[in-house]
Amino acid sequence: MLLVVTYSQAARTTLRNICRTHEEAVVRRLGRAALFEETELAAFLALRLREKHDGDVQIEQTTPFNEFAAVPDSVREAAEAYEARESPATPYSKFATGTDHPSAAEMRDREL
Amino acid sequence: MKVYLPDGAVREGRGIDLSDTAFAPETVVAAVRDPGSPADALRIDCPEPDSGHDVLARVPISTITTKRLSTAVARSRGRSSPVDEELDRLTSRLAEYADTDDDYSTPLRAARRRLAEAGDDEAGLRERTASLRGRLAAHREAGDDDAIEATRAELVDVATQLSEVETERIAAEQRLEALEREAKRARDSRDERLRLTDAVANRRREARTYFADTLAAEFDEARDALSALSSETTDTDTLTALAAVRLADFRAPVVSTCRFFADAETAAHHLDCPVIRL
Repeated sequence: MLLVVTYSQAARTTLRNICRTHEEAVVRRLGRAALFEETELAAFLALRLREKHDGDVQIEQTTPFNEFAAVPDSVREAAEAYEARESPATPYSKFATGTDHPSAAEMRDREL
Repeated sequence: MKVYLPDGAVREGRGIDLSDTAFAPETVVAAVRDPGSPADALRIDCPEPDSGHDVLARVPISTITTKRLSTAVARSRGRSSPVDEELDRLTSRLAEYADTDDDYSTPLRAARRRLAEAGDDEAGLRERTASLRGRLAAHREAGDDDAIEATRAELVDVATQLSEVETERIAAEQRLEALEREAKRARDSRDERLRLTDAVANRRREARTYFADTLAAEFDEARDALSALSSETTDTDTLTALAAVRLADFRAPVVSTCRFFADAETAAHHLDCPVIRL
């Protein structure tokens, strides 16, 4: 999908108008951002927005997130285990200490 | 107040009628705001416009909300709202952001194009390498020495080009990454600016609501008092705008284009400020 984010009132207004008139190209509206379909029409609309508002518009192409392909087992398992923890008040750092689960600091420095 | 007409005539008083002249309301308002008008045009000698006068310089006005009118009235009286302090803080922070307008869109666009082109070139050359390798194998099988030599030479040439294009593509990637990092910082600052712009708009709205609430009773009274002056029914917009002028604390003249009052003097008396009637 195309993620379109706006950074000014004027760009936000144009985005709203586009979303209103081209519902078929819009997957989701998120305030001053929107997810567009991956079609030429959606790209056309996004590019028009950028032509008009330049740096106030950011366009990114998103890919579906597959945690089994993109994320190491250790991270996925850590998330699972932490959400199944017995005491809800335990912070992750304490939870991970003394286990095989990666620390937040380790994960922060490792890119997917 | 004194009005100097282009023909040399001078009119003086708190209520001045200019309906016999052809001046447009905008011209008169401009002359009120700028006392240094050129000598051959209309010149008005009057106190400087008070705060809030920008909204109420000309009545009636139909395209304005009572909240904005109330705000103009309150500002003319030097009144402040509970959000003024925060509004000042937000406005001055917003002013800091106004200057930091780094726009990376042009270099980013160039970098994206360069990367896409380098990628296309690379893909094309890879394809050519593959097909040359295939041809080379075929020539070897056929035992055609001349063809083997020629294809091998071509392959070397293509390999050199490929390595150049690869280098170019990697450089383009790095350039784009570096620009993306800078653009992210610029977007963060735009993000903050938008947040502040929204916050300022919200506080202003709150201030307008506050002024409208605190002045509501006075507005009602002023409207009642004014409508009692006329036997004809006047539309609410006109009455509200006139009420606002009456409530406002103006020393500068207001330009009136309506016939609500019998004459300019009466208007000045009831609106409690200098009036120029058109």
